[in-house]
Amino acid sequence: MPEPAHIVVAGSGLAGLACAAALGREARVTVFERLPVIGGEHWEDRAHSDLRAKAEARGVEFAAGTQAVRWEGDRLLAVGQSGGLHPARALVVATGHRPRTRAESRVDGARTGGVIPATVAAHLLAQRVILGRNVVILGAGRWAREVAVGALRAGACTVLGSPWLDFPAAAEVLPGVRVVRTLGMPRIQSIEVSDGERTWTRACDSLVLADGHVPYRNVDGAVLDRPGVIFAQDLADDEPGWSPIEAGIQAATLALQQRAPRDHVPTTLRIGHP
Amino acid sequence: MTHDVAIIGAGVIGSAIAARLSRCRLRVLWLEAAHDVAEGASKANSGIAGTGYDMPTGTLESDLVLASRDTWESTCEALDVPFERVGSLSFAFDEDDLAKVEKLAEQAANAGARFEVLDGARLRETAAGMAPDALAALHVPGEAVVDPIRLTIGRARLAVTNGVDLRCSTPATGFLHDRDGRVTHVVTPKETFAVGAVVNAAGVNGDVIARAAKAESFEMWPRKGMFLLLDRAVGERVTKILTTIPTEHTRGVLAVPTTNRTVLVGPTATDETDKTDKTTDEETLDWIWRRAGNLIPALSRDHVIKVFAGLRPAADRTYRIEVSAQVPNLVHATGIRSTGVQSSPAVADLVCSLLESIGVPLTPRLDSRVRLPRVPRLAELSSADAASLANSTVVCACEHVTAAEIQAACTGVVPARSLDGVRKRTRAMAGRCQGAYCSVGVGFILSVQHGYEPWNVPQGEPGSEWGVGGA
Repeated sequence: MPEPAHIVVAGSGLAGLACAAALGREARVTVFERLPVIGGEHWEDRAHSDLRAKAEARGVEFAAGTQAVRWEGDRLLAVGQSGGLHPARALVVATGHRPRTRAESRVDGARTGGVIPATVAAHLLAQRVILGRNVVILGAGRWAREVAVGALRAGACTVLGSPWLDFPAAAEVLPGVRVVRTLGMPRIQSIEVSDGERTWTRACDSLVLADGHVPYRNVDGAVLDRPGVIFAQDLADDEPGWSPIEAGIQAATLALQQRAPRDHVPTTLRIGHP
Repeated sequence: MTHDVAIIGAGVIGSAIAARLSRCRLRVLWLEAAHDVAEGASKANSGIAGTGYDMPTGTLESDLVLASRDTWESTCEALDVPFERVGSLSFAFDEDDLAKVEKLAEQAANAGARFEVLDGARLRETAAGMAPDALAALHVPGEAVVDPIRLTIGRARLAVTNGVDLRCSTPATGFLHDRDGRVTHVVTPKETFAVGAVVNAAGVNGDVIARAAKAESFEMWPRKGMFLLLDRAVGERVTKILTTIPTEHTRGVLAVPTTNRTVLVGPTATDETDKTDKTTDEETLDWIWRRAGNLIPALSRDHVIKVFAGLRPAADRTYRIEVSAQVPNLVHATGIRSTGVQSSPAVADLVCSLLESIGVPLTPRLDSRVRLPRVPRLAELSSADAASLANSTVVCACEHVTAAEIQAACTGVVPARSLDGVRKRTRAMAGRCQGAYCSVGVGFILSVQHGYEPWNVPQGEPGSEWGVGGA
């Protein structure tokens, strides 16, 4: 009997684990996780450990503490505890999501300090950092709630956007308002905001970027659509209706259709020294 | 006297001069007002280093660019600076442009640059996937891209390794003179230094330094240039420097493949008054975007990972590189508007010969270094070569920067002291997520090195910390 095709999965969140479990014995499967523990940031979560156990029972291998770096059509370069070149027929990208950047949220103005991505803000708040006394959160997506709870411990907090999760009542919520530009140097002092009809300036000593649900992609050669690459991510950038487990199961079906041998496509390297 | 020469300004020009002087038997003081080197126009430009084909010959600016153009390979190889002669294409989209391509070709011939005019099938082959509506293009194969930030930092590291006394966060606020009007001391907020000669390489603040030194009164102002930076996913389609042809009404817009395979589009050029205003605005960015569409078809705004502005030093007289007529031991290296990266090697040579002419002896030091040791960089290694780094820890997952690379950037000579400092040296946090995932890890390595608490990890200058306090 021929050896089953090797399928590599980048990311061990719910989507990656659901994909690996669904692939099960249909393929040889390795799941790469950049953090040292399977499940990534949510390793303590019950749903993650259940899926992990299911996948493990079906022979899935795990490579924790290992970053998927490059997809070259027929092999994955991974770096970390289980680093090396891993020949494979398909790559499932299940590396989760991130908030929109400044540029993606079209926030112009000064490149000032005190403007931070919500993922970073959440981590700093857990470290008891006081981000500011008058924090504005741009966007009301998944990261905004945690940041709002943390920010309210030290001062006022305003959320620009329409929350779909329960927000603390103490937070001011302004739906339909966007940030046009930031003012102040070296630290943010105020923002210019707009509701589409009028524009006004309001004080703020910390701006947290928490808008959107952008597929986080960091494997070179697997950022845009490529042969052999399947994305188990929310392509609509619209979290409320999206299910990571369904996305993972769908990706497994697509990955199994990609089992034909494929050509090697070397990555175009960054330019080094002459 | 504590120092033979004081250089004011640690941009691309100051660093070229410092590296050059560090190979002589001189005590060199090097002052920078910002918290790090390469904080002005040197970190916000298009990174073109090339043939000088697009500027009229017979000016000092052109002479210095032409004198620099064969030095890049050896300099960048020695200083661990990414560099490649990618070539450039200047496109003609209509009859008017065609005449201008002919003119540009004449200029390239004057500058002694190798060039060819392409049309028809040859154009489509060379410009595959780029500027589909172009009728013709001037192709200059020797045009090059360099990482201007690593160039500046590489020179700074070489200079400091060779004993140059670099002081960041140390603005020159005043000067003391003797009876003959020579500068005897440079005054800074913390310390006053006795110096033998002074070089004014203060970029857009060159006029402020000149006035403080009681030298010539001249005017400098910031010429703002805005850029959009596009993801590497787009970069695969842009393999050469692409430009539209300037007309009487509009400047040409560039699309530049950076050494990181991202693409810069821009810049604009507007004369401003505020030397600190690096703000961007939607209207200007939209203007660039519309023009960039001619160069790169089917661009999506989703691929813009960053927008920023740089302030180039414009002046009433460009390329004022001379001994001051009022202060006999002061050498100006100012007014070096948008071509500072390209001309910096020859500017340094010229400044050194001016120093020699006022009695600063340039005796070579036989023990000086000319090369820097290299840190292996994961993103610059082929997958086969990356095997040696296979068990490293990747901190920045977008740009594939390892913990060892970040650690090296935070230590040694000219260390990074801020998140921006790490970004400039390693590209960590400079990718498509702009630090959403790796800033925390980078901040941790910085904290271990410099004793920061999580709340006071600085973005850049003092006052730009992550938080306002810790509980």
